[in-house]
Amino acid sequence: MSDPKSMTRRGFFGITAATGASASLLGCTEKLPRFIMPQVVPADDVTPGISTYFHTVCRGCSAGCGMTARVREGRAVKAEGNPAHPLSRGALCVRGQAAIEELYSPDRLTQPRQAGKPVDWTAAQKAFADGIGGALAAGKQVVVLTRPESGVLGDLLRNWLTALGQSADQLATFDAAEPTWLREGALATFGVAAQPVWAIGKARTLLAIGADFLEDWGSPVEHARDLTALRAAKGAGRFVYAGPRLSATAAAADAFLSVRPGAELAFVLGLLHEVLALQAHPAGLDDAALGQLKTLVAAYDPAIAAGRTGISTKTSAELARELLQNGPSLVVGPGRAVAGDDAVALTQAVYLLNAAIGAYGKTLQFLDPPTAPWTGPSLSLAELTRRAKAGTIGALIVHQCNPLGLEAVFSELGAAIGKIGFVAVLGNVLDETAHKAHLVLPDHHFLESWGEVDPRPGVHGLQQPVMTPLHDTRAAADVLLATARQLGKTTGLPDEETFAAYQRARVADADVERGGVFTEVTPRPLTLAANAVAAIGVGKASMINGKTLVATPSLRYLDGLKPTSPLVAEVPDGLTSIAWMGWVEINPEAAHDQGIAQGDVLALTTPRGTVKLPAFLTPAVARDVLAVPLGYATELLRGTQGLAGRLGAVEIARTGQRIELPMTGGALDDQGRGFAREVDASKPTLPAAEPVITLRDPQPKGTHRWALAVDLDRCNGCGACVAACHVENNIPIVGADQFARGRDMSWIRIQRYFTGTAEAPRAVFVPSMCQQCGSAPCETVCPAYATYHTPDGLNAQVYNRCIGTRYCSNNCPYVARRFNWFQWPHPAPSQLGLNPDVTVRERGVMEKCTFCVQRIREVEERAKLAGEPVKDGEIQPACAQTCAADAMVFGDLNDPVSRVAKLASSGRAYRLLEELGTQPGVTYLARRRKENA
Amino acid sequence: MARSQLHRWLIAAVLVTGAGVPFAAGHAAPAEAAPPAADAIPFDHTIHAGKYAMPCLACHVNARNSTTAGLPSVRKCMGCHKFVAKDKPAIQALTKLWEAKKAPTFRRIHDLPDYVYFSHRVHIAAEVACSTCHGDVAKMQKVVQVSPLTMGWCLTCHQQRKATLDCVGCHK
Repeated sequence: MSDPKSMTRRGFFGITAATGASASLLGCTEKLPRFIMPQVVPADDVTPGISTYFHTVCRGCSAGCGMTARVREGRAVKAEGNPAHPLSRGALCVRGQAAIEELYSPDRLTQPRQAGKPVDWTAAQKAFADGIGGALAAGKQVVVLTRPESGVLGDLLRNWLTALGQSADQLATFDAAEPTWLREGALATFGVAAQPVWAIGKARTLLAIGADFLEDWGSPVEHARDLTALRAAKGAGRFVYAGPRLSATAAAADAFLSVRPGAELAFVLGLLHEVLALQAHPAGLDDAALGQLKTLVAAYDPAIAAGRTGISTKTSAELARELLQNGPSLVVGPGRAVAGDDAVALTQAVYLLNAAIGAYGKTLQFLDPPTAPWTGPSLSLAELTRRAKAGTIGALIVHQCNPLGLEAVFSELGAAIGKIGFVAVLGNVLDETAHKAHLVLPDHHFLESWGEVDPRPGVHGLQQPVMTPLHDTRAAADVLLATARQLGKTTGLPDEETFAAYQRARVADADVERGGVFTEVTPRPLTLAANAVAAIGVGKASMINGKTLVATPSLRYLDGLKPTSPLVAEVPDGLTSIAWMGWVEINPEAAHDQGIAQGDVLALTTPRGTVKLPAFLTPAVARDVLAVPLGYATELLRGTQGLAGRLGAVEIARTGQRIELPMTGGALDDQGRGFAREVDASKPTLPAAEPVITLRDPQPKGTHRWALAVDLDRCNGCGACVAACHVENNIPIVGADQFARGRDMSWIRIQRYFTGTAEAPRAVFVPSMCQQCGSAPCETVCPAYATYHTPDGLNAQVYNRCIGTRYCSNNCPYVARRFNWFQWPHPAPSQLGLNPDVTVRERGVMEKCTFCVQRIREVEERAKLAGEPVKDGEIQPACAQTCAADAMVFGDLNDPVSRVAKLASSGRAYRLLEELGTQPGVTYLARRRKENA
Repeated sequence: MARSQLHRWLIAAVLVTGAGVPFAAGHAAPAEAAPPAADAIPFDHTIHAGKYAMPCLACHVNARNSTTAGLPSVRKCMGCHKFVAKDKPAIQALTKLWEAKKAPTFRRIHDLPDYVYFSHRVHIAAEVACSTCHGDVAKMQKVVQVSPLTMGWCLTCHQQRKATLDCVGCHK
């Protein structure tokens, strides 16, 4: 030890190991007796150690995206998108990614409960039959309240009611967040009571009227895919968003027009005025409608409209011209944030504007049969409430939905349900409704059960179990069938013993393997209803002087409920970077005027109610607008139709309390450091970077140089990549408290930077992960050689070598590393969902993004065994795989024809903090700007 | 520490056993379940691999196409033992298990830490003989570990055969 030159790294450990300081290292070497068991009968499609993939359908919401479950040793460990599915096309959102977490959640019901106490299935089944039988004997109605169920289960629910001698229309569908105004507007305009299909991918010019279609609205993943298709198309025009707030969808647009809340109808009618001035005889309007429309919009000449909306006449004239001349065009809307008391009139105006620009059948479609999985005879929630209050309902069966979770909105429902003699819940968790039920019967998780999901005509998704049920649960349909048999009322019901057998017999193997049956459907021809124009009730909209409040949607709470999944709660909101709680967005200048600081808890009062939320200061809202996330402000939505979010005038009061927000973001902008770069779309080339003068070693040459390219033109900050990374890499959930202390463990975070001006804000989302530097500052400071450079260009982290000095984290300019301050728990049975190919890190160990090295090595291993080279695009890290916007491309930089190499040399390419000489492996492509037409 | 030990046992059992196992995770909290009595069936490699010279891959079929070699399924055992050696007490015990659709439990001998990723199929493809790591199992009545299975031992072979020396080849 006296001669420092003779000290080797191994020798260093030999000495330190003898000291007390490293006693914990020795503790790791304990040897445990472990056991192995053979299979009794091997499953045909399961090879231990090898992943099996099953296509199914995600039931996280009613969008019905295709899902592919990766199964290892009979346990689902990862959910991804099914590439064959026409809507999601291989992508999944945050909630879809959380399916695995939900499946293994310790909160799941594991056995039936009667009157709040666990019972066995025999007793539960008897109690269920008694409850139904009792209602029938008393001559009262049996009602089923379900989530949107189509296909075989939807039919079975109705047939079951019929078999009991009930009317099939005693089936009620709970879909609180369905934008009802779109359906009602379609009925008034075209006589079709259906939700429209927005073919965003086929449009060249797109205008959104407060429509946050990337965060809400039935099929956000499909819309994100479509928006990328729109952007990639030749001759693509602009995407303009007009609304009260710079939402994530608005941030993804080329231009954001801040329309005053309440003036949206004036804005659309003003646009119609301009369009009709430019094109006197649009093909989509007949003479009678045209005449009426001209009279209607006469009052909205550009100057008058501009006065109300705050949008200049020049801007709307340009927009009208673009919509007409750079077609096919599409106007989508109105979205939740602009849906107020005039929502239906606004919808009709939007449909008529689409008619005037010739969008029908091309980009705005209504399919046949009408688009909604919940068609067929049904009971409205209002009627259910009325009947329950009147005492005509004897038994209510709540299937896979939680209406009382939204009791703040449907305030009379709770009391009405309380009057029903027998309430049974068939679900997965003990939610608000289950707490009040007489009987709770645990259903299988959707990854354990059969089903059919038809989000629209032509898309028939098939849901299959990907593993044997984890708990002692029973398929809801089996409970119903058994009850029908017990009561001796089986007319019209299947003869098969189980629902699974019944469903299995109905479907072909090839269809199940594909994940569904997908066909092209021709849109139905549309004609305007006779009084389509006259039905627009103009004048109802109330302009508000003073501050107005909007409730904004998000993928996290698109059913109106705040997230129940810890993973969804932990993935921060894209625009605010806040996790785990709600907030109120307030303009920084307005906040300053009122002496409100970030984190001040404000009491927001509207005529419907009051909520208390901490303030978040953001230029995303104008001075006279405040915004709250929908799921955290349900008290303000009492009695609204379809959770419409334009909530009107609001009073603000300070409560005197201030909290530390659990958020990842610091500054609002990038402080001039060039993290979020933008280029003019007409000349999309960044100025050449100055040559880097550095003493750092050049990147060593290897066979591959794995790299990632992130297109900021596409990223909309949805956070699916963050969730996917969590699931794939066994990243622990830390909870709100530790999150607020900056101890979140996520390997990837969405950095949101506001650009533009205070009047015209813009936002750029920069997904930020380990940059896999060619010359990494972290590597040179590790005394344990736990982080080092691999021959294929990765900056590797070897957990079992790490001794937790945290030098690497200190030296990382990208804040990409995460330290395990604690032994994070994986409460049973959630450990069954861990990825067996990734080490579960212990306390005291540093971790970070590895580019999903386990996936790289798996593909390399397969290629090696097959004697073939790895093909470009074959390796996909979890983040790139799930990205609906296709914003991330992974590949080999050393392969000049790879997609990533081409992107890395594009004119828009730049690297973060390149001037430090770190030679990052992640390339960002600057955001293209088309502010003006 | 008991919790994490059992947790590791659990992972090991899941890794090797696969789907058909009566694995009551979730009914009772799995972390509290007692490990099953091991080695109830005294399997003898000297008879199978020795006397009858059955190749390793005849029973450990997954070694060629999977990361894990795995154990033959009980059904595979019964494929022969429905007819062979029915008078032996061990086979009678096995038959009982088979009839009850239960799996025997064995003590794991060749056990790598959880942070080591080892793929059998790559080593078979590289024509590494099973005995290189597992020793001459044909002569072992009861399997014992003959190789140290330490990192240095692995790397010596990797160096000789010019295989990968990259840390994240095995640690992920």
